[in-house]
Amino acid sequence: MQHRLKRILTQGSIAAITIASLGLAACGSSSSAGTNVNKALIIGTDFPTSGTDASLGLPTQQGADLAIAQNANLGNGYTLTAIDKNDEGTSGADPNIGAQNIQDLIANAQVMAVVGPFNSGVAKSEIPLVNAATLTEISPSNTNPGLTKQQYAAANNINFAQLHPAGLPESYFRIPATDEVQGKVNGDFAFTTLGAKTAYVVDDKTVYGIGLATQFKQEFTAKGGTVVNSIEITPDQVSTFPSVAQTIIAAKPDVIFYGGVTSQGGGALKAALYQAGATTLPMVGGDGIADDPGWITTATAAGSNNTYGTIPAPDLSSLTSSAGSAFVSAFTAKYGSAPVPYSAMAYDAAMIEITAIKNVIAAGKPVTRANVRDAVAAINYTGLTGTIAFDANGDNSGGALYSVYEVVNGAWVFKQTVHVGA
Amino acid sequence: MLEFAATNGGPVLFFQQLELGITLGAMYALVALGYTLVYGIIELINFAHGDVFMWSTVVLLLVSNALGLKGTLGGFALIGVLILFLAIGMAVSAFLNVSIERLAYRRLRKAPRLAPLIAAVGVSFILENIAQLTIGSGFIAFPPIFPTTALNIFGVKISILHIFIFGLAVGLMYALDRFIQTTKLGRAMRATAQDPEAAALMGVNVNRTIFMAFLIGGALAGAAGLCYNLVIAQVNFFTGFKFGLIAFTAAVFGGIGNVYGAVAGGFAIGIIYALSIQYFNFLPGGGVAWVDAIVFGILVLTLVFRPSGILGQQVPDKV
Repeated sequence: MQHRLKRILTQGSIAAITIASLGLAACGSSSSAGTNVNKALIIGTDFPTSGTDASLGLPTQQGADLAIAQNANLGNGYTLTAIDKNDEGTSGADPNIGAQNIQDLIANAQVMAVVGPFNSGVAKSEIPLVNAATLTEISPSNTNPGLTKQQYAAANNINFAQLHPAGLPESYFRIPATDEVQGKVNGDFAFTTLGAKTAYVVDDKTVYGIGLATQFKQEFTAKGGTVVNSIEITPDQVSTFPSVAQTIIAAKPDVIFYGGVTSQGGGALKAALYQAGATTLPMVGGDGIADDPGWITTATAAGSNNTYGTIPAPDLSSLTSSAGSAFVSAFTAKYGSAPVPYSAMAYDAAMIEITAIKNVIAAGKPVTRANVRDAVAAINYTGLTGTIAFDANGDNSGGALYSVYEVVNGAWVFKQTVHVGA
Repeated sequence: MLEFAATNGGPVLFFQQLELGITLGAMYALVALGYTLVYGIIELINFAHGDVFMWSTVVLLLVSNALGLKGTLGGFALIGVLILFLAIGMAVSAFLNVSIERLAYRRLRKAPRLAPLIAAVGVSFILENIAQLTIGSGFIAFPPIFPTTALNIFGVKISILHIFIFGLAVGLMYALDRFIQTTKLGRAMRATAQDPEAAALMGVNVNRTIFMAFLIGGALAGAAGLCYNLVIAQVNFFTGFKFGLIAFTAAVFGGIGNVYGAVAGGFAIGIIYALSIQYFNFLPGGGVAWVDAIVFGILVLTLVFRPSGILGQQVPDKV
């Protein structure tokens, strides 16, 4: 008797669970069948928001979050929220974590677009994924040219065909100009603004640094300057820098160009030059050193003077338009601290995606990832950082913007904005 | 070639680079002595020695931060700080070196040769990682406490700092030489280096001798750490790897196990570095990109023709 009762109960409960789950599945599938559209849209972000990169990664993400929060209601019953992902690993932004984050965002059917990533290295692993899923990803800060330009891919260890599979629409876009433009801007700055006739070029043997140095040399000589010599340094040669500094000083250049990042020897070389007596010799570099507090720590407060660096993003002080001031005050009010230049870029990136979604809704088309991507590709948007439109490769055809920073009295100070192109 | 001529002007520049090379060489010599002392006694290459040197630079940076040192010091303050830093640097590295011997190498003295070698590599990793956790991965400038006054001799600028470094290094080397030649402990070290078993039979305390080798070697590396902080002034957790490698190369170049060889090798390598950076600057990437290849090329050539190094003893083939 007990045995039969147990059997009935067991079979009955199994049957009940089966029916219940079938019912739930039916409910679930019916909502994506089209008759019951889920209007809770999501924009994802992927930035390094902890650890050593947080000082730039977090405020950048907050720029995007601000735009999303300001547009929580898209009209027509559509709402918008953000999902923030962190791709910081044990030693900087991690491409594997970034790829995993993108997989998570792709798996969530409500995610219509992504803002990020911060680092070009992370973008390398994310671009093939977003292209395969036709999920729009706009980066506010990637400057490696190999990500979108085939002719630079091999030099940057990028398998272009793997990132941009043939036959798929381009889903990766970026707002800042690419590094070869930055090298030219630096060359022009050194020759025209600083009035240098001779330059000593140094690079840090990385693909980024060599790229910048090559473009600098081309532009500097095209303008009429002379490149006296071109050397490559690495951080493990630091103990020889007094001799290297003597070599540079003996060549009597008007300016030194450093293509690379602070930690790969540039800062130590600047300190060595100062110690060797070159106290007024200017050094020009790119976003690898610009506005970097680490530069002051390494080159010493006195030694770091006369360094110039460029960042492909607008300085706060140049955001003087009504939209710019509104952004700065809204950001400061929401997060309690001022935005960084990349915050404005991320804000524009998110606003482009939001505007694209609104355009899709207004056109009466279903809000799908494919439609949002098409709208982003066709967009012409005027934002905090200027006019933005994307070409077939995903690059910004609306012209480039660079902020020039200078070290004065042992601190980075904004000097001027440089506009290039359209 | 025109570029070469323009950037390699005259005897003044040659002597300037020579002077820089001697200063660099003095530091390499101090660290090379640590390698050679240890190798001479127990035939072990103390791979962690470069990191022992690095830790002296790190501790001195932390102490200078704690003291709030920022700019140039003068007069008695400078002398006091230098004496203090020299004592701290030498004590830190001596203690570290001796501890490593006691904890990692002593038990492996009878083990096959690879065991203490791997242990040394392991200790090197540990020291580097702890330093990275302590001061991070970047380069931190050491405050410029030494005044930048320089003598101008026929156009060559020789800074007082470099003279101090040279004087300090030579003084320490001379003290080491006197110690090894005249004291009982020094004689014991020489005997143990020649034949450990015979020395033990003669009543030499082998453990104490080995302890002294590590202690003195460590102390010299600590002094080099102070010099490095004053001249190069860039503290980084990974400095010891390269610096130690070059210093070890210098010791081998001069004759491993030979104290005079370490000194000669250190100065020679330092000078070769400085001159190569200047006079091989026409190569693509500049002299600095090729200087390691040049230095190691010279080393290999020397060892081919003189396997025991410049001052090393030629060991006759055993019959």
